[in-house]
Amino acid sequence: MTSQALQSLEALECNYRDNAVDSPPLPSLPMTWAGTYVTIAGVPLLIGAGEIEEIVETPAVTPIPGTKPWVMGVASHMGGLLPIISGDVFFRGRPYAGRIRDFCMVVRRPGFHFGVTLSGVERDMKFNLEQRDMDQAVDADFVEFTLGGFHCGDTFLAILDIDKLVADSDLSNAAMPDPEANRGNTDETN
Amino acid sequence: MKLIELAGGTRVKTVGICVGVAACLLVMAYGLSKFQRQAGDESGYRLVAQELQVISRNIRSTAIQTVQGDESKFVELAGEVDAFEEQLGKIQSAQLYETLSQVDVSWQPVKRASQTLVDAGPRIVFMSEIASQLGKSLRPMQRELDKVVAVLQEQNANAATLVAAQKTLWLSERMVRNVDRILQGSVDSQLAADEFRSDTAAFIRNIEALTRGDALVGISRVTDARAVEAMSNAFRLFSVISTSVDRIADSAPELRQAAVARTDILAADVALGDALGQLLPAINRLVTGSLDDRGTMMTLFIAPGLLAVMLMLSMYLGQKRRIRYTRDGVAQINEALLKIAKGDLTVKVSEDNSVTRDIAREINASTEHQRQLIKNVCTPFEASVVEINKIGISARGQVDKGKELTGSVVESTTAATEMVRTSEEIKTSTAEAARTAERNCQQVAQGYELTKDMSKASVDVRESVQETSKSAKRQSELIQSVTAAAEYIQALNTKISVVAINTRIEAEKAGEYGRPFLGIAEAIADLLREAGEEGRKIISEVRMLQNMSAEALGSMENTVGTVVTILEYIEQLDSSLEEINSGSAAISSIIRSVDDAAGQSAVSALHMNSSMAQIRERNLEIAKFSESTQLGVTALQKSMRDAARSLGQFRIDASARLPEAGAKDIAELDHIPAAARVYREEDMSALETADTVRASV
Repeated sequence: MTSQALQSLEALECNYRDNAVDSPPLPSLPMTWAGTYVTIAGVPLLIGAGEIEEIVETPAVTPIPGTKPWVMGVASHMGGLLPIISGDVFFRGRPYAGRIRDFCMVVRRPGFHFGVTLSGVERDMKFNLEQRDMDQAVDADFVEFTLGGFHCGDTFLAILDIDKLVADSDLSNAAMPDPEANRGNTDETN
Repeated sequence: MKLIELAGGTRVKTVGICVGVAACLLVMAYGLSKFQRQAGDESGYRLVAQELQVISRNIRSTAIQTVQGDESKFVELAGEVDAFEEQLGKIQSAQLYETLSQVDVSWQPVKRASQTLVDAGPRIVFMSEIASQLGKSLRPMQRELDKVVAVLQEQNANAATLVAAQKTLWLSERMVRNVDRILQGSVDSQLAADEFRSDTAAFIRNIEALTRGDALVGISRVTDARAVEAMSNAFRLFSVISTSVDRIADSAPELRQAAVARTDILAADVALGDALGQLLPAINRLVTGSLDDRGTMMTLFIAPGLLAVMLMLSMYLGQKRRIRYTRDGVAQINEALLKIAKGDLTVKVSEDNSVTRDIAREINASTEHQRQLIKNVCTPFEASVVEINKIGISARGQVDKGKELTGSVVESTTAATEMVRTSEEIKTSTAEAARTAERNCQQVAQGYELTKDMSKASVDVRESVQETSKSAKRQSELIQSVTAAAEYIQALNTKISVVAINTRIEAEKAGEYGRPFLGIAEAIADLLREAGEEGRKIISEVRMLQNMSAEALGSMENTVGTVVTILEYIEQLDSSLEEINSGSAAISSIIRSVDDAAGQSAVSALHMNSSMAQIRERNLEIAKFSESTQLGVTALQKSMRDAARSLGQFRIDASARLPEAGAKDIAELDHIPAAARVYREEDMSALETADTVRASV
């Protein structure tokens, strides 16, 4: 019984192999780039799909003493603690006192799990990869974190490279430099 | 002895006749006194009637003068009414009953109307004082309110506040006019009173709104110290009215009745004048009737008169016998008198006749005395001739001066006639000027009407602007509401977008199992794109609406500013018209004064002319008198010559005759030379000065 069944299956396989018609060739679809259109510190940016974990409403934060100015504090998020970074202060490098940022994007990378405040959230967008413009000038504060971009109407949407962002040394060390230590180092140097 | 008895009987008879004549005279005197007493009563009635006419004219005049609100006029009117009643009660004659009834019927309406005027006197006096005080305080009050408006404009106050401040100005003006209308008691005085009451309420409401602010009508509180002080001053000036609004408004009916009573007095005064005019003829008829009734009384005069004549006749017959005895003595005296008449003063009369003894004695003494007088007359006679000569020269000088004076009077008369003609020309010119001033007044009145219409139009514009402003505010609120809704929708879109993004992320995390959610997330993203575009369009259009609403509000602000400017122009126009009106009134007053002066000048010139004519006539009369005097002097000279000649005929001494005294001087009187030249006043003055100089030399 079992052998007959196996034989039947083999026969079917041979028959399929011998008689089956090849599937028609699929048209070569253009390569697309998908991402999310957001604005940070008023600069329109694109973030590639899969690079952000989610977008959440900016939670209430608890300030952390001894951290750099762009660290807004730590917030409770999905049962854990999530540091919230002010995109305006981090990228612009100066204090911000404008409209409250309602949303922030959550980035998770090995060793990194933080949220960056967004000045605006638009939508998901797709672009033909061939249209990617690598030469268009972008905002000076974002140059070191972008990797080309796409034109959308009259607006140029620069692509924020999260890998470049997490590789930034400044972001890696959120602690405020110790002035006493600096003074000691200076004294030793002298 | 017989002669003595005859004389004694004659004396007794004469005494009896004298007693009879005296009795007749007593009867006549009694009748005469009775006649005079009756005539006295009737003349008293005539005086009362004339007094009544005077009082009725005074009542009419005083009633007209009560318009001025002088309290003394009302007291005077009451006194005149009482005086009329008192005088009317003095005429108590049954024959005048019908005429007196007519007078009383005509008098009663005047009395009632006068009483109405007297009763309304305190109100009229009060209203006159109010009108006077208000007239004085109107200009300062409007100046203070004008300051308030200026300050508000300077501070760019809102339209409602500015209009409220402007409105107080117009309200104050209208209140003054209504007080005048109430005081005049015209037909529409009640309307004026109602309007006055509402105006005062509106004025006080506006002042309170400006002082405290009124959010309901959009009036802002005035905080500037200058404006607050100006409003305080204006309200203090307005207190003349605010403390007695009800009393002023309630006095309108009484003042109306007073005006009607004044008209009634003027109307009834004509009938009263006619009735009083009939009273005098009636009293005259009463006098004539009394004279007719006194026919019998006159017989009382005739009978005693006849009796007296008879008594006198009997006395005459008694005297005739006595005359016969006396005639002989008189013949002797006549003979002597004839000699005396011929100038023989040496004659002597016999003193034998007892009747003529005293006469003869007196004649003898008289001739002796005359002889002595003639002697005395001769001495001053020459001096009299010299003085008469001087009088003659003076009389000629008077005639010449009279002629010169007549010439001057003729020249003065010509000048006066020219003055009258000039006065007539001035009167014609002033009449033309008065007509021109009247036309100006009419045009000013038209200007007033136009400013009133413009003010009303500005009020309509203000109300329209207020309505539009409210509508614009409502639109602005709606736009804001729509904007908020659109922004809320946009926020929702953003949240939905976040949900869609997160959905996509989670679908990708789910791999193949998440593909359906990926499609859903993409569909949501497409819908959000469209919704976002529409939302942005809505917000853009709403902002355009906001801009348009702001522009409309700005346009309304400009309109309010224009209306305020128009109000200012209206006020300036009104003040200009006021000044033109007062100027025209002053010109009219001057024209009237000039007209009166010209009339008085003409009357004076005419009076002077007539006076000159009288002077000329008197001068002519004086000239005639002077000529008469001259003739008289000539006649006197002749008489003196005759007297001298006659005196020469008197024989005062048996052996000598009177010398012809100054016969040569008297003859010279006929040859007094006429003035060689008629000297004028200045010539005479020069001559007098020359004489003085010569004397001093």
